[in-house]
Amino acid sequence: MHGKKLMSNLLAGVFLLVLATNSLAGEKGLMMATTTSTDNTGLLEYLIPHFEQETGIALKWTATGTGKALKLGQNCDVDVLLVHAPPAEKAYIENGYGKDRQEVMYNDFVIVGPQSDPANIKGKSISDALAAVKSHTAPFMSRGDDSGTNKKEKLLWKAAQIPLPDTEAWYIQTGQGMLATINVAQEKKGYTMTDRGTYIKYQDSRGGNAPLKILVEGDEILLNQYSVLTLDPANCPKAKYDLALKFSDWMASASAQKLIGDFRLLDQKLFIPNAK
Amino acid sequence: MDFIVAGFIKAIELLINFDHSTYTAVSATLQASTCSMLISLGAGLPCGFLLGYFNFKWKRPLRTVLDTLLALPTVSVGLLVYAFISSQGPLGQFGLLFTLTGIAIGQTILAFPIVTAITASIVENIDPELKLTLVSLGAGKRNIIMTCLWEVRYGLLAAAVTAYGRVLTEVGISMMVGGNIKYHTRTITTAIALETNKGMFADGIALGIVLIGIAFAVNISLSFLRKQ
Amino acid sequence: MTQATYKLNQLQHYYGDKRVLDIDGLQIQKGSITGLTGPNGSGKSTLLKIMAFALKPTAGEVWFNGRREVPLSPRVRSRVTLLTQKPYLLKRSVFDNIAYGLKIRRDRDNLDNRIKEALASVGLSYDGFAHRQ
Repeated sequence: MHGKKLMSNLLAGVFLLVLATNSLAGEKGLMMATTTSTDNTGLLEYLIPHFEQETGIALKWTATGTGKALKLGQNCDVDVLLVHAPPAEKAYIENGYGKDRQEVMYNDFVIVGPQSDPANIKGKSISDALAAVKSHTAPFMSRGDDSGTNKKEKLLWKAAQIPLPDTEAWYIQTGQGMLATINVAQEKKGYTMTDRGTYIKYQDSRGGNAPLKILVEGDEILLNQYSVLTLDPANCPKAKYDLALKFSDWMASASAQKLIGDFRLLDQKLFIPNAK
Repeated sequence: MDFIVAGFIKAIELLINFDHSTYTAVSATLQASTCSMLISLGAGLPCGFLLGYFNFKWKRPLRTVLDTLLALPTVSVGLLVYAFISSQGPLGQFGLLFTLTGIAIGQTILAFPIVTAITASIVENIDPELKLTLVSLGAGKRNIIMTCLWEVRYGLLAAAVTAYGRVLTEVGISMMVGGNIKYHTRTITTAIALETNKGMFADGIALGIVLIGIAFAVNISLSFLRKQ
Repeated sequence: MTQATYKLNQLQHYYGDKRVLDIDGLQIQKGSITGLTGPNGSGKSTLLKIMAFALKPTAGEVWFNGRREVPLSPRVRSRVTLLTQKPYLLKRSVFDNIAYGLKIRRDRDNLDNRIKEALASVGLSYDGFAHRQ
């Protein structure tokens, strides 16, 4: 009947249209999985158009926690990774999922908290600061999402020789991104560990005067290294290895490194280029 | 509280300035939801009719299963679809992950049980006198089915509107299957999730207002189809 | 002897386990008027529905004009009609309700006038009623 035929044609048409617009995207494109800190700070939006202009390669990225990004790479759903969890990255390569690792930039982690600093951690070493938080049972916000940041935080507790306060009432695991977690800390007037880049972004969004201040910084263990990981073609034959290498090389190139160094908010550098 | 007011203002700004990221998000939302609605209606209306009209052995258990599917959390559907279309999954070679098509597939899975279950209920409650009247007027099988469906058209419209509401506002599927890629698979709902997660509450409210605006526009046009 | 219009043979109808009709044989002649009487629930409506070919009997045969027929068969569809106590009106205009039977037979000649005649024959004016919902 007239109506039915028209309907099924319409359905087929719509479906094909959506399918077509998707396949148009694919060919000289690279898919990247990265973490929320590179995305939420606005670095990628600023940086990637330069990459596309200089190399002609289109790059799309999805921002998730490091855990999920690594998983996406393992499942060959993406072509390249930009993450910040060096021990996990090295294990990744050993396990045959990753091929090349190129360090590209770093910043550092800091502990932030309310100006009033109830646990009195200001200026202390990281281990002393965490011990103080624990003994005061001051609220401490953790990402709790196995992200690069979260992994670093767990490392800090270990280094301070304090068992992870997983079930303690004052240890609050938000399971969310860094900005969201900082917001929770602000609400609860608690402490949290964040990368400096995201902290500056948070400051910026509050017009430069945010309730949470940096209280602990500078320990060597607080270094936050970002690297580009290509995927091992043996594990992911369909991944665009050559394009991924081009991206990796570009990130280490002089022009990209300069761009990274020039990226500022509130006149502060968020990431420090350190490709060798 | 003041972010709510700021949100309203921001919403107007975004729309008037033809903000690119907002408009691409709107387009993404409309594409995926329209596609999934057309398919779920095209399949769900007939299936719902068959389920409601005829009596057969498996009718009750089937209805129960269908009604249970109405409670599917969107993230679970998203995870399920991911398992299938990820490059490790059986449908991996179609490259549907991180695409609007992938999102549409997930949303179809979400909407189909809604359309089918509601249609089945409506059809079951059709006045038996109707079929009698139609047969006595000389209607054949096809005319009976088409006329029955036309008689309950307002109920079917309600089914469509319900399903559309669910599809338009879901986040779990779009996020998991689409990847929230800016300008490509970022829908209004995933954009709201992102902005609120970044603490940009005013932006979140603004996008929410845009979304409600779309829903409103759709419902206004549908209201012309209803009884005056 | 002219063929009976209707011939019912060994007709039985059950609703679930309950038997409501049990007719060995019944014949209705052409041009005749037959009345059925009985208390509520005695099966009158059921019998009428079966004879109008709107309901398939559980057992037995219904012969119409010398042929065995079943519901929705093309030969009986346009020739047998049933007028119930409480007719169901379709959700459309008066005009379309009356025109329905003609439209599904694709008989659209002179539709307006024929509807006008039909309305007039029961004392309703075309202008006043045709477009009422």
